[in-house]
Amino acid sequence: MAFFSLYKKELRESGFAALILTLLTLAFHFFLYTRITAHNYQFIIGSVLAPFFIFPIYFLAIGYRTFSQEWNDRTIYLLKSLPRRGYTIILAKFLAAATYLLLLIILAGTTTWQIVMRTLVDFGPVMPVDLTGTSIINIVFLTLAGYLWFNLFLYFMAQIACLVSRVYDRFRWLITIIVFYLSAYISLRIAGVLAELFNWMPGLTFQISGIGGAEEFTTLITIGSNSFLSLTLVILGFIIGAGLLLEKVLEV
Amino acid sequence: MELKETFKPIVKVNSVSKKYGRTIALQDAEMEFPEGELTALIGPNGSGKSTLLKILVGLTYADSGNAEVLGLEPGIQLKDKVAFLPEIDHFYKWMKIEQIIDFHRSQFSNFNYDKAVELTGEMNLKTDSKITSLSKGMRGRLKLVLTLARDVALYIMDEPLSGLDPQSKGYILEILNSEFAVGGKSVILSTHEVIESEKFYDYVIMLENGQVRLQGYADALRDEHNLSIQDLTREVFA
Repeated sequence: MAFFSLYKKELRESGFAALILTLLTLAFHFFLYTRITAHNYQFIIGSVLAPFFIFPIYFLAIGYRTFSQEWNDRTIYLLKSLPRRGYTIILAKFLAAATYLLLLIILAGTTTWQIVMRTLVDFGPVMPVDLTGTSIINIVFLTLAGYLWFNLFLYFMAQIACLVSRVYDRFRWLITIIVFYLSAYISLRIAGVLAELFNWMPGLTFQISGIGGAEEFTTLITIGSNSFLSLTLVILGFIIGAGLLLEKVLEV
Repeated sequence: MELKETFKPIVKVNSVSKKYGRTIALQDAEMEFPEGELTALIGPNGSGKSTLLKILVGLTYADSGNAEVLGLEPGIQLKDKVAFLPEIDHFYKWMKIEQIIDFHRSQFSNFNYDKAVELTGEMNLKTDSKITSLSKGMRGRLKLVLTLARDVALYIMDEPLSGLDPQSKGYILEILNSEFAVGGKSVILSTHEVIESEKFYDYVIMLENGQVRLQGYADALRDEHNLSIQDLTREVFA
């Protein structure tokens, strides 16, 4: 109940920005959908992915803003007065942001699919290769997984940079930028070390097959599950670290 | 003398020091707050009152020394046992009064929803009002509603009357009177508005430059100095 209430509050807090982004994405895709012609369909297919480059910026901004706004509005007094562990608050904020990210991806993915399908129907193949259904699912899955991890890292790096900068009274922007870069460097180094530690874990193999030119082809892509595990552990480290910072170090 | 012998502290502050940069907020502050009494924490601006209260509820941390509240160190466990009213407005602006009451109910195990609604009516507030539509006085009253709706062993209020209009002060003093006049509840109230709230004081601690200047039971201080607490405050901080 307490956690759900915090989660609901966070959904409401970042809802407006997500709504604006949703409307912009829909408007942009609708615009592209109505402008597909034989002359520009390749350009349209390229442009349709543009929102996916904007979402990380949104996630980065949300990661930073989620706490800076609490300080600016002084609601941090209320947040820190709650009998909740720091990581609970971090998790509620993160889940709210992740909910919006997933909804945005699903929405933008659906509209992208519609545009691509219409292009295929009207103008034939748009790619030099013809992939099987399973291959397309595998490629989408891998791309999505990578995209989600990338966004998660951006979110937590921005959040930790914001929290660390709040420990100091001066040079907050400078500290934010330095911590942001350092957290990227350190977390990826740690992820690398952890991946080495868990390299005994089985790999995940994805088969990509189809017809390219006149020939059939099959390619196997293997990704070690240790990399997923190490990234998960680093994300958990971010949650616990930010939680401790909020609970034990930061003052209002 | 009889009162001193029954003194049972609910809060102990042991040599607490706190600095903000070069500014000293508290310097080896040493004091105890009695259980079941309303203690007034009086002092000029910058005397360290708010810092002390924030340390007691775990919003700020002491550089040295320690505080013990209800036998616990400030932390998560304590936050559910102490109701804190901060001086600043700490509401989410998009919320309505009913939403902020619901939010508090979900977060504090001892939050009495019915009492909150009742107090909201007594304070002449409407539950469907948005926070942004409330005046400073109304927000001050709402803070008091949210604090008093909790059934806890200790209430800590930081300047609940500061900067409020006479009408809001009237509402708040009336509620404080009905809630605490009978006694038995432990309250720490930091204030400048001594003249208006003096009648509620059981115990008084005067703070200046982060150190205790004077402390004792209000009646004993009045008898000893032959002055009201208001006049005594003027004399001590002159």
